[in-house]
Parts: sequence; structure tokens; C-alpha cells
Amino acid sequence: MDNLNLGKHISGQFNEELEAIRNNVLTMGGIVEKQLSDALDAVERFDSDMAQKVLQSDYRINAMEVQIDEECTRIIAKRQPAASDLRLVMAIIKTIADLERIGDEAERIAKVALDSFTNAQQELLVNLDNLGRHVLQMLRDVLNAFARMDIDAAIAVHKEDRRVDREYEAVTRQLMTYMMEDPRSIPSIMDVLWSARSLERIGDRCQNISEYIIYFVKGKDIRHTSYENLEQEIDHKP
Amino acid sequence: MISVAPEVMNLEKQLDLGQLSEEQTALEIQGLNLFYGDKQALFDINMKIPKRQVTAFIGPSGCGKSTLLRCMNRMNDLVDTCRTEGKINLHGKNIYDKDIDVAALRQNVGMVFQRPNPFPKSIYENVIYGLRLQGVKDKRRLDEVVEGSLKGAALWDEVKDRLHESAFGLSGGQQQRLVIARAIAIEPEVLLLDEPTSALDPISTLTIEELINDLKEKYTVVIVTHNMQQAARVSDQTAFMYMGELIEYANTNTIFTTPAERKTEDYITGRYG
Repeated sequence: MDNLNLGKHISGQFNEELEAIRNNVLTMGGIVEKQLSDALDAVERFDSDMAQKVLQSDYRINAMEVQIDEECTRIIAKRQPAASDLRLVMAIIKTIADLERIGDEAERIAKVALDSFTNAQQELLVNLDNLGRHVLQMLRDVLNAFARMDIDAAIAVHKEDRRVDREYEAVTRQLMTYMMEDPRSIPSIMDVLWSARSLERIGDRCQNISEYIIYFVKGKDIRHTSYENLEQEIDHKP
Repeated sequence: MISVAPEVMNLEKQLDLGQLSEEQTALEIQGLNLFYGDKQALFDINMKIPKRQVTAFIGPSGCGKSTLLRCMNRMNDLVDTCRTEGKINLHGKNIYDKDIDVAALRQNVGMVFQRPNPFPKSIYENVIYGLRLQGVKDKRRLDEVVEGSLKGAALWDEVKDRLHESAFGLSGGQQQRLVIARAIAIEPEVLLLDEPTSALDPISTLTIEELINDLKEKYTVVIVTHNMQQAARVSDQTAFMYMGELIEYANTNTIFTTPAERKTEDYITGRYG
């Protein structure tokens, strides 16, 4: 919490506005997390009701993105934030865009649960579930890191994305093998493949959010920095 | 960090303040201490002010920013109890040396104050006041200077038909631009602006800010302002002072996005330290 230091403005109203906006982001993150978790459950259990629920809830995330964007615009217009306040507002604007896209990906994944699969094909989905749980944990971690503006946790998430990428490649290879063995399965396997792709993209978006956290705390823009140079960049004082 | 060729993105070039060559430096302040009687008001100020750039000083009231500005053309000499140590070099020569002609120094380092202070004379006479003191009588030259200076201060179009009317008939913003015209009529190298817009309305303020941006093509501008957003808008470099000390001095972009010092951060974000 010390990193945020939101309660110390001379203007109490500004404190409240920043605090409110931050809470809204955390609430939005919670909803997105629930959406992804529900989507994964729906796929795991072939629960089309739950899948429908996910599809119907996405509008809330979209509405929150619009609302938080508006609040940020208002703060910029009225308060002219500088330094860490400005970085916070910038980080929030970008974070909610990524959260909204994660919501869209969750929706896409939930749609798979609406398809009908044969028993043999259902086994494919086990692979997807492992990748899904991994990515879900990554999302939780990055939201926690955001709540505490914890740079170490953010760096851990940033590095985790590499593992998700590798896992995604493994899943892809496996799915390709199935397709070669049984071309009739291609249409349904393609759906699984798209879901895997969605999960991989969620991992990328979690990594983006971790970059915004690092930007807020350190004032360093580490986007497009190689893994090797990452820590060196961060250690450098802002 | 990715780097993009500046010509592709049209990026602003930033000076490295640590690496200013003598060529790029207008004023160099070294180990400056200042005392009003027993009370020390400035503590060991060291900085280089780059040529043909706008350098802004910000900080809470009483932090010493105006005092420091006044040191740059020795206005503090007028205060009896004031005593300074250290150096301010202009062209490699300390302006506090005994052999310095203070009048000549002030021609070279002009100053504009918070409240517009036109003289009770015509607009024309106000602008050429400095030249009259120098004994210039050539009417053609005076006319040229009046036109050039008023154009330089973005006032010409508004007053060209009433040059011989009293300067007091102008609005506050126009008066302030007239004072700036008077200051640049004697072609100084450095222009010190002490809260030049604090007595002006927002539109006149923007006009002056626009003017400041034009002035840096020919002059080195040093501005003290209470308005942080103004510092952010007009300056290339920003110095933050607190209780007589120079806390942080860096490119304006850096100061307003990622200041290095906690005190700077607290001040510009409006926090109590």
C-alpha cells in the first residue's frame, strides 16, 4: 500500500477519486477472473448453462471499462495529475483495456462448452484445462500484484508468461497430432485450438498488466524489452 | 528500451543537463550561498542553465526561487543585509566579481516582474527607455527597435496605431507584454521572468506562455512560477527548490512524469510531505 500513497494529497477529494477508481479496477478484475474461472468450469463439465451465464455477463465488464475510462478522463481534465498520480491513471487506462479483452477471450472459451463433443474428443479438453488453470492463476497473481502495486509479484507474472507460451506450444503440437490421426475430428479440434489460443492471449495480457504495474512503480516502460535486459532495466533508478 | 529514429517519430530532443558544454551554457551557478542577515536563504546551489532554452523554477513560497532568480542579475544587491557566497558565471566570468559593471550586467540579463510595471509614458517611450538611457537618438533606429521589440513580444498588431498613447491604457496582459518588449529592446541574452502571469487572466496567461516559447529562439529564459502546470507547459528544464535548496533539476518531461526525489513528487502531485 505504501507504494500507492494515495491518501496524502492535500485535496481530500482527489484522494477519494483516485481511491474510487482503483477500487473499481479491482472490482472489474474480480469479475473478469470469475468469468474466466466460470468459462473453464463450463468447458470442463460441459455445462452449457454456465457457458450461457458467461456469455451473458460480458456486458458488465464492457460497461465497467467505459465507466472507468470516463472517470480517468475526468481526473485528467480536473486534476491534471503528475508523476506517480499520472502514471497510475495511465496504468489504469491500459489495464482496463487488457481486462476487457481478457473478458472477451473468456467468452470465446465458454462458447466451446456449447459445442457437442464425442467422448474421445472430450479428452482433448483435459489439456486445455491444465493450460486454463495455469493462466487463471496468472490472472489472479497479476490482480493481486496490481492491488498492492507489488513489483516483485509483477516481475514473477511477467516471467510466467514464458511458461504459458511453452505449454501452449505443447498443446498445439498434441492437437495437431490428433488432427493428423483423424481428419474427421478437425472441426471440433479447431475449436479447442482456438480456445488454447485464447488462453495464450490471456497470458500475454496478464504480462501487459504486469508491465503497467512496473511502469507505475518504477516509471520505466519495459514493453518490448528482452527477458535478459528486463531486470537490468528495472533496477535502474527512475 | 526500444529506440526510434527521431526523424521518424518527430521526437523532442532532450538536453543532457549533466553534459552541458560551455557553448550550451548561459549561466553557471557554483556553490551559491545567500544570507539575509544571519538567516541563510540559499544553500550551496550548483546548476547550469542552458542557452536558448526555458528553465523554470518551482517550489513552495519562501523556498528561495525568486531569491535565486534575483541573484542572476544582482538585484539582491539592493537589499542591504543581503550577502552572497559562490559564483554565477556568465561567459565564464563571475558576475559577482568586483570589476563587474552592474548596469551592463542588467542590460545583458533583463528582468520582468510579477505585476506589469510600465512607466507613466507612451508605449513608444516605454519600449525605447533603455536605449534613451544609452543615449541613442537616431529616430530611424528607435522606430526599428520599437517595431521589432513589440513584434517580438507579440504586441505590435494590437498597439501599432496608438504607439504614442499612454501605456496605462493597455490591459494587464498587454502591459506585461509591453514590459517584455522593453526588456528585449536592449537585446539581453538572458531574460528573467518572476511570476510573469500571476496577475493576469487565463487568456493573457496563454498569450504570454506562447510568447515565452517564441522568445527562446533568441534568448535564454528563466522563469519562476507558482503555477506548476505553467512550468510543465512552457519550460524545457525544471528545477524544484525547497527551503533554500535545489532538490531536483532535470528535463521538464522527467520532472513531471518520473521525478527522482520524493520531495519533488510530493510537491508536484499536491501531497503533504
